[in-house]
Amino acid sequence: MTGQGVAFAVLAAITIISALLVVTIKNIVRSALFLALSFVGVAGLYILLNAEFLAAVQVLIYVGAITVLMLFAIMLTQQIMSAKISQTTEWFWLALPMALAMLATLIFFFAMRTYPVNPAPDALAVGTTMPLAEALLKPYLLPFELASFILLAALVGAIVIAREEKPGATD
Amino acid sequence: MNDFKNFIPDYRYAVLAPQILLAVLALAVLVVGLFTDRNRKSKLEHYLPPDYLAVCGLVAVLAWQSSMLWRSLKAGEVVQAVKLFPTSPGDPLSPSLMVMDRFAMFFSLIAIGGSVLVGLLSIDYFRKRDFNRGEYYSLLIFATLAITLVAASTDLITIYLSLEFLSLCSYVLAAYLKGDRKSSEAGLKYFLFGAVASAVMLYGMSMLYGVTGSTALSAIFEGLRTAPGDLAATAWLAVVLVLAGLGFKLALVPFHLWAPDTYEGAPTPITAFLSVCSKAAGFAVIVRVLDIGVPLPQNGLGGVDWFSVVAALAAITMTLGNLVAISQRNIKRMLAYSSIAQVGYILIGLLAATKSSMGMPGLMIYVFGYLFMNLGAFTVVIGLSDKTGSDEIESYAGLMSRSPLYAVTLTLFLLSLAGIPPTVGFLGKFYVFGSAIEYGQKLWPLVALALANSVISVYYYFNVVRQMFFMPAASKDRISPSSAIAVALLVSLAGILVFGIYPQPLIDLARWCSVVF
Repeated sequence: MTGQGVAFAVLAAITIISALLVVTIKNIVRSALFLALSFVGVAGLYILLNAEFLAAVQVLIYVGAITVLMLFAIMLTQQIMSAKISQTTEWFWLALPMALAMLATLIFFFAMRTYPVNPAPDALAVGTTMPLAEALLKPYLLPFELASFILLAALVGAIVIAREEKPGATD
Repeated sequence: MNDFKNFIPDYRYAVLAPQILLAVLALAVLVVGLFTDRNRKSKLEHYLPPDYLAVCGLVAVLAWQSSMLWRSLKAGEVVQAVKLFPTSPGDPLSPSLMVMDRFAMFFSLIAIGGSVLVGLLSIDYFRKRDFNRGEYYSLLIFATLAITLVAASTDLITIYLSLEFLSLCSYVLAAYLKGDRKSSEAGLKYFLFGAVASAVMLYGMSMLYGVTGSTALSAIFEGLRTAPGDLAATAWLAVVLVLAGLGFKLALVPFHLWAPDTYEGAPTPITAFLSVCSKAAGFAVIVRVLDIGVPLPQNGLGGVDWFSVVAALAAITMTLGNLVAISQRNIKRMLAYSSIAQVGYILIGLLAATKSSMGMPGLMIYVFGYLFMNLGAFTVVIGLSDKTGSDEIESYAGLMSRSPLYAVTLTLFLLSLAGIPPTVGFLGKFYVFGSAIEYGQKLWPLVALALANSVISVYYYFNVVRQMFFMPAASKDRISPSSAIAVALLVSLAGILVFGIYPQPLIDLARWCSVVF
């Protein structure tokens, strides 16, 4: 096994095991912390793929901002931190074989193939940050702008749903 | 500076004017709503209420979009499609993120026209209930914007982002009646199913990228043509996963579980929006992805056989939708299942379009007519539940004596949904089924099943008619529509009758717009 292979195995294990813990563990704070660990694993995979800018963004935004935000939300919600919440229902034993069957299908159809590989430019020499910025602000300008509208709509929606209505305040 | 010129919009980007106007309108409504919803007696509310601003703005954008389509048609065959945002600027032949062709403009017209009607229906509904109108209308316009974008998208990235944009707005709108448990359930169910469906679809898209090395539909087409043998199965699975995500938007049968509860619990104008505009978006995407992105294997060239998958989905969708609709007692649920069944019929047009030149126009005529008939039916439902407070079919008993206008128009809309002449519903079914017969024997069993299903649907549509005309009324109070509802009702009625009796303009329009780039 090459060094890259070992690194991949370790990172993939971190990502998958902590992701499994996120959806099985009964304490919601630990669940959120394992989510952060899973994100770190994904960031490691990005580094392995020479996408160092994406890895940095992954750590900054997903680990730094989103998980912290979740922890804030958990801490501000009453009586949820110490509660033991079961994450499974009575459907668990029906869902498990179906999920495993889906996994087997995906591995069979998806993983055991050889894919055409685009010859990538020497990423270590060029770096990926500049090309990424060029792509985002030149040909992919529309998706970039669209994403800002999606965020705006999500923000408005979240406020509308979460805001407490004060009866009579509108009159 | 020269480098800058290569991608900064030239005059061609003027075709995005309706989209830009929609974005500006949504922001304007949001800001106006901030001031008027706080103080209902303010001057701004008097001169510029956000709901009227939204509806009038949408009408203006609708006019603009129609005139653009008109100019494109008058220009003849020269300018059929405008490629926007090429993936490598400077190379005019590189695949682009969007193509504004007549097909996209046609579906934009349906989306904008649909939301004009939905906006009209919402005016009384939300004035009575005292909710945040500014946010409501701006989310509605954002959702419309998303549909117009998705109809023109020719790249997996823009398709995914626009669909997600549409979904996010729809989740919030479905849950808009705060304090109403059913509405919250509607939004939550829609959100949970939608999140899973969009994850599945994204997974399929990533596999398509893995197999073909591109996210542009035209490049994916070429890639699948030449994909080596062991990747063909992967490509098949990828297409099935993408179809699952789109099937959620269209409420195709194994992915329809959210639809009845969401349709019942959501505010009724939003139910109408989801069942018409959101489905139009689903059709625009499924047509574009399958038509120009995924080749059928033929002449020894590679491809993905999506034909049998879509045929199977269409068959179970129309059968299950119809059978379950029979036993419904709530009219919103009944219309939800009937709209599931209608999607099954429309998909036959997509299948026939692979060979018959009438398949695609048939699909477009059906979707266009479906806009008027389904929105018309929901208009009556909204108008009545506003007065009677009930959505049960039993509460429609004796409606003829209480409100002849509602009873007669609802009968016409249901006739159209059942596909009986002289309504536009007949025209749609005629062209879709006709093109399938023209396609050849392979589709005949599906047409036979669709005809049998149409007969079943007559039964439950006429159950409502029977209640309205032959059952004694529970009360003698007259019911009359408000002015906004009356306008929506007359527009829908004109839509199903004018195009049902004089169909030539609609047929020509659909034929001119049916070339997909």
